[in-house]
Amino acid sequence: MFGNLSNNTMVRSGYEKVLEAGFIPRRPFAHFFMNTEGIKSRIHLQNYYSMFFPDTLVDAEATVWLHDLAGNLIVKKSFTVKPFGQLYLDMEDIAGYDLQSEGMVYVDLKPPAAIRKQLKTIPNLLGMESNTPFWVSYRDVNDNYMYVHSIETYKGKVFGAIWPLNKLMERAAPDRPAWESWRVLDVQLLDELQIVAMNHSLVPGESTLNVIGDNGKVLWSENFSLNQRQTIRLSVPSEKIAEWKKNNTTTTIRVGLDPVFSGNGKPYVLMRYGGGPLSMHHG
Amino acid sequence: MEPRHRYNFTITGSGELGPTNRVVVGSMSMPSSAVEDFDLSFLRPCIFPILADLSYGTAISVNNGLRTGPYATDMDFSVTFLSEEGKVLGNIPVGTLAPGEIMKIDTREYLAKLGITAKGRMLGVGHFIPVGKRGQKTATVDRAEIMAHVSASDDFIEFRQEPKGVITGVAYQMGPQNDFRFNKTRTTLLQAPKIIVSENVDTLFALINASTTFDYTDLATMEYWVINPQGEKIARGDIEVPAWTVRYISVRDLLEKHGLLDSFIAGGGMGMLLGLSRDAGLVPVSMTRNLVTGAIACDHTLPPVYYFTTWGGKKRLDANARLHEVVFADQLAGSVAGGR
Repeated sequence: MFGNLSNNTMVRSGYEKVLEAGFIPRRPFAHFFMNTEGIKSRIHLQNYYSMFFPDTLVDAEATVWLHDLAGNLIVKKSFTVKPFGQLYLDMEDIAGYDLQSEGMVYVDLKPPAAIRKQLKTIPNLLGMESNTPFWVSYRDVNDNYMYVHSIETYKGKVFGAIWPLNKLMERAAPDRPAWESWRVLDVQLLDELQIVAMNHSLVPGESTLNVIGDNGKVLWSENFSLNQRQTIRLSVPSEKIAEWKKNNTTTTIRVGLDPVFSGNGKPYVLMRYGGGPLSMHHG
Repeated sequence: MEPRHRYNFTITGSGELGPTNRVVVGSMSMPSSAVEDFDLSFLRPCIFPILADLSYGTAISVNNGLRTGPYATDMDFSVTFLSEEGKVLGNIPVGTLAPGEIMKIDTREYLAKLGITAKGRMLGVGHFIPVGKRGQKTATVDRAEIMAHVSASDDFIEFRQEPKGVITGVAYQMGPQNDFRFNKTRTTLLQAPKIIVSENVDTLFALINASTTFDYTDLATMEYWVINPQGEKIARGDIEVPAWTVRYISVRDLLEKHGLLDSFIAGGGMGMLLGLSRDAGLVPVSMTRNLVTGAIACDHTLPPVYYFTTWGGKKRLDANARLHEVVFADQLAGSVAGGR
């Protein structure tokens, strides 16, 4: 981010003093939430400062942002987390009502002042970034659960850092590599396949969802675009899956995005096998 | 200045799951780039539980993910199965994968070929070995080669109960475990706000104790507490994981043992498992399981570097020591506390 400036001794020394004062860049991780079609989502987050600084057991404040599929802010709400405590937040806890929506959720756990003063004790301060990972559980009406952990940060907010560094970090151009899943799905067992893609950055973009068959052949694809914070849940047509099964077009499939919208912004894969419950995993 | 992270799902040398590039390398002590007498079976392993005791079959999607670069090469792939006691039961060659090639196998087929009955808490270990090193048991290996293969991998472990239509799993990468050439210390901090227990739901934590040689024999121990959302300690346990085995913590069983199941469910049925091992790098995988339908939510925990990207070294050791004093030193294992 600093580029050549980071090689300047004065800049480096000055920035180290800023970091030692506790102004460490901090990014929220972002997740997909879904409170539609019989699926309920819940945020799982702990006061992790207690585990890293067990001599300073203090409350921490977590702030949660919910954005709908279009990227619009639905609600922002803060919660207190006790030392070693945790939050388990249904959408109702955040929105105040049984929110029927889906989209992006991200969370920041602000270090209390007593913790912030101690961040300088962590090694390699100059290269450190603090993040707020968390989990989302998804469940159906029969208490069949799915879990996904944080895989990508929301790029559009950087907390803790001084201005203008925070703004530079927020607006940095994201990496957008092509991505293909390493998970092989058995076509004959597959009933339903959906892919959730999110734009974790502030930069709009376009991508293509590919379903890849045996020998790397693209069997089906769909182009789409996402603005900042936008989320899209794409369904592979059921008739396509039926066709692949019937014709033995392919025995296995994988999914791919070309490109993802940020470095590790891999999609979520929501699927149903053999008439069983839905399962979800990150790509 | 901005660190670049690829948050893939590496099991790092510290025994915890974590991001890929600099984190894996950074968790190692690196006196030189060469590692002598390295067992090639663990150059690029895939270590996974076989949930036979829970009546699931296990399939794995594995890949020779390194498509380009000096270490990209055809790799032979084989699988070893280990008993509940950590004894090697058999190894079977599966095939050779070109750079970038993917393969999926159902371990039940290969267990049958070996005449092994899946039972108890077994482990499977997939081995990728470069074809140029065929016939060699050990070799001097550059750390960069190990990390190149590990970083390019992302195996998917799939558990299936086909009559019930349950097929789910978890993706991860696995680097060297419990090998002092890579880790000066062996500790595991497990912080998982992932406990869900209800009338029909249990949450299990699988802990794998693996290494870079089947000669590894060290017993791993972990102390743990179930902590409620208010931060109060509810029930304590400890667990031993022999070398080359997987053992499970059943939160439901722990709560039942302490007579706390009903009150825990009445209180919401959610909480955090806080575990600390001071003698091993353990690989934790959580499994929230519907006892009626068989649905199972598999996921791994997150290592400290997910929270603070440069966490490690003496700071890590000191913090773990203090955490042990604050959380674990005041009660004997198996006792119950109503709050801190």
